[in-house]
Amino acid sequence: MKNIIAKLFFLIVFVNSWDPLLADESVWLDEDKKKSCCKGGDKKSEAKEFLIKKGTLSDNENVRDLKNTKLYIRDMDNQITEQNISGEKISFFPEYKGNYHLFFEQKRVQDEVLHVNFSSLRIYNKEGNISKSLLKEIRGKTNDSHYGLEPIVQLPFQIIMERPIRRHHINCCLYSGDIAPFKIYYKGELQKNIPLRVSVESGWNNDVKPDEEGVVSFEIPRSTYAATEKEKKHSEKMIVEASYDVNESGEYNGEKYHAIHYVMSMPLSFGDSPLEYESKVLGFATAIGVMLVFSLGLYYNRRRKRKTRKEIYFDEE
Amino acid sequence: MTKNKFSLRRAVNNMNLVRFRFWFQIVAFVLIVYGGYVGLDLGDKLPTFACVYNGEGTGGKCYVGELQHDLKHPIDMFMGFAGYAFLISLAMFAVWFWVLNKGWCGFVCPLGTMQDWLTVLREKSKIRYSEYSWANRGKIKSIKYILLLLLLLLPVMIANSVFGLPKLPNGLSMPFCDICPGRMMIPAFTGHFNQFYIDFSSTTDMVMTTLGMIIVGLFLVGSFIKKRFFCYFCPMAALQYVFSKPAWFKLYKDGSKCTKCGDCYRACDMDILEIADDVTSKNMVTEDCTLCLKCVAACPEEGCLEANFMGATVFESTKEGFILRMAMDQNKENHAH
Repeated sequence: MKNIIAKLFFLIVFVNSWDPLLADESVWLDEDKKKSCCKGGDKKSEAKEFLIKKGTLSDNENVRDLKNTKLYIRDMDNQITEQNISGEKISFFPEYKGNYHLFFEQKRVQDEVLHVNFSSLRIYNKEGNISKSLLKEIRGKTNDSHYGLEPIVQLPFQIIMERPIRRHHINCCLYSGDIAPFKIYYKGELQKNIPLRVSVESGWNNDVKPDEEGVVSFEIPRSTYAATEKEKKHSEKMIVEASYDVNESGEYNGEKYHAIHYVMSMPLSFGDSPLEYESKVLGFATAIGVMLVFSLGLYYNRRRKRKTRKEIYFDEE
Repeated sequence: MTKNKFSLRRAVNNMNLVRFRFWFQIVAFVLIVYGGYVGLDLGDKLPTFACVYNGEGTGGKCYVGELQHDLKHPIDMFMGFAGYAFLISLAMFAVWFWVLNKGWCGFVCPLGTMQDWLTVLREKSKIRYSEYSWANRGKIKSIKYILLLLLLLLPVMIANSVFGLPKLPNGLSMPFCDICPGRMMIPAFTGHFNQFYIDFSSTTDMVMTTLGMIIVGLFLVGSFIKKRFFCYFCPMAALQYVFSKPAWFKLYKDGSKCTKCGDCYRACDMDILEIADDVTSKNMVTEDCTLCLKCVAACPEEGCLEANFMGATVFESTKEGFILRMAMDQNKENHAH
């Protein structure tokens, strides 16, 4: 009996002390959709605005103090530019149509530890000036060029998303049921023992370990509680995050530190799997049914034509 | 030097076109369907059915998909950057197309190649082929133009209210891709049968995907019994024909040498009567022509039909070539018996 009570006690203590898997100090980039619209309805000149959020997906706040922060933007040519940050929001004008990767960096020293937070976000600008990317427009692209990119030098610790493995028919975006693979790099070297923390808006949290090749992959969970009957193509957010500690001494803004704690987060959004509202069996059944009906129709049509016509005798009287 | 040049020309004119085309089609099929696995990326403006749904395998992408995407913009955007993007894409499509003209259909198109393979299968199975009746042929010809018009109009009507009509649902944004048999058949060759489905997320999606399944069923049976069954309805062929006149690869006919024997017509997979009947026109590339060059190979008259690339004859009809090919066919038949 005592054992049971002790176990129950431990269980209650364990459950109460269970923190969300995302670290408290997590910061992540979030596109501010409530942006003031473009000048004179011209979508080309529309600025993209981003907020820096701190906390978990369900419980977070905007980071208003953006001192000691940096933003790097990687364009489609893999050119990296640093952008100054002022105010509470980050805004920039993507010049041309295509993919941009944003990398946010925040540093602070606390308890003689340098805390370095990174966050990356990929955006696709549909309304850009194509004169800057004329050659890309002429050539066109066929592959998912934003996956599996090289880590950038400016970010020593980085999570890179590889091309997801899909079980459905849509060759873009992320959907529940897709296998999302990631690689974690430190100073350009692939790290094979750093786990990835995954947190989904609807509540699923997990700590995923890399395989022998250093690929951390997981199946994007199905949102059990979403009202998919009402909104069949709803989407939700998730954050993948990894951290790494390095014993390195130094000085940052006049403050000494004896260790560095890196945290990188990557917010992503995904939709309900197309497999939720499609039927392969009916698809195959329709195609095969049409083939059978068409074939039988042809067969009988040919047989009818092959038959010798009956001679008709007219009564000439 | 002159002798070598002459010999090469003779060798080309005497070649076994059926075998050459068979291997050319296989190479083109492999490049387009599996090229992506070895890093081949020919862009997304190809004038052939290189399916956008073929995931990692595709070595390039079909322009029809891009065209529908380019047209789905509100008019104010279309008058700006989206219009430029559309014009650039169209120009690139035209440049690609001018290289081979309708030869894209006869030599490169994976869907055309599949139809040719089904024809070979039917011939091996000794099943009689079918033809469209002359009464229906005129009606069938117009279907591809109707499909082209719809694929151009529907994406515009999604983004804009045309003539005050309500905007169409987004499920019609790729109307031709929804019903194109290439969407199901091409990924199937890379082991992906995930395009065989009926989407129940909305009425529009359900109707379009069901139509797609019906058309793929018709495609498979139709192509088995009728040579190039789908090419008669292909909106890509209609779009290509608009750009065909300035193309660099041509099919020329010297009417003064034509005896109207009809061999070219009998060899034609698309039953184009003009190839035998028309002795006044020089350019013989018609809307249904796939530039397969079977007519050139079947012509017994010296220099009557020729395939011409930028003014240079690349393959022409010769008596010698005709006799040699006849002998090849005879040998083949003897072996079969």
